[in-house]
Amino acid sequence: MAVVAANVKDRVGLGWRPEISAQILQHLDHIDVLEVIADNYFSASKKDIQSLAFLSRQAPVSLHGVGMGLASSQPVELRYCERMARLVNQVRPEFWSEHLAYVRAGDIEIGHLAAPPRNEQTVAATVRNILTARNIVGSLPHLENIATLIQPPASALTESEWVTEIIEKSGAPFLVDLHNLYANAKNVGQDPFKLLHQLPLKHVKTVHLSGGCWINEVDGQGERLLDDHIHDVPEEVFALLTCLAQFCPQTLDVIIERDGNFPAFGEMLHQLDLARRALQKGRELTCAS
Amino acid sequence: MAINSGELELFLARLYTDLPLFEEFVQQPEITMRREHLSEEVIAALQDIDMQGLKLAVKSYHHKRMYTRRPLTFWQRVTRALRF
Repeated sequence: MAVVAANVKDRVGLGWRPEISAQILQHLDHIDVLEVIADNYFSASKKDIQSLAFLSRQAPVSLHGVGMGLASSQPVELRYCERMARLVNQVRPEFWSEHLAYVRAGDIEIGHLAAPPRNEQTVAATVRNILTARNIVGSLPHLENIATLIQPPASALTESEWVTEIIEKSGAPFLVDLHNLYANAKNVGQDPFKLLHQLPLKHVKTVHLSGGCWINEVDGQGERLLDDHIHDVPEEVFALLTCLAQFCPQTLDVIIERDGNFPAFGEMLHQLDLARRALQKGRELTCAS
Repeated sequence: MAINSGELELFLARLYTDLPLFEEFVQQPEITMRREHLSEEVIAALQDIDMQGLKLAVKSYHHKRMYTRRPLTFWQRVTRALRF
């Protein structure tokens, strides 16, 4: 089911979630690639790890970390890197990925992804952390841009400048989350397509798609788009995927992330087909130009 | 003088996770920052903070911390099994 156009074999898949695992296994012929949340397996039983390793022999699997906190002035936690290294060694995924976010500071665990100030200091610290992680895990992670509801203070760089510097200085592949990009752009009144073109597109290897919803600001004056992963991928994000495919000659792995409020699985498969069509359209536009 | 990003990240992390501190900061940002002995550079950087974004972020992080499913430890599984 991979999208094939002009020698480019894109793949489209899903985030592995326990709630839909049975349906995923029943429809593996329609799913090109799976992404597993690594943190859910750091303390897993031997049996669960063996099951995951077996899965990775049935379908291409990547491991997606959420708690490494690479984009931080603070050195990355070596223990976390070692856990990732152990899991990578046990499961043998095609690649692993993490976020350009911080998740802890001092002894405080934020509990989720947060955007650090975007400046040269955090660029340098992030690159150091990425290279430390590479040395321990054995390979560079694909690095993902995050959605943020707050514009990080003390940011001398724009989001695109900051992400580009980190990707280029670390040499890591870029995992572009198109809904995160879309939400961030909408929340500051920018054009998401213009923002897409400012990112290091030649380094993109993986793509995330997801959905979100508009929420009211606390004082009720305005709205912001929340990337909640429990809504369908909107049309505008598929349009961004088409644009990406038009300007990225390299093969892309596209993962649809859904964390809850799951529709009937047929609808999930339909979203995969929409992603394939968006990719195909972008590839055809490249060929036509 | 260049801002100490680590100090700023730490204070933001405290705002995200310490609701009473966050509420004091919303009401009296400068008094709260000076009481916490933040540097002048960090205080200046936070003067124009995206307050709406901060309020939404705190709410979102609080909700996610409350509802994030964590894997059970060995002893939690044993305790659950012994209940039946």
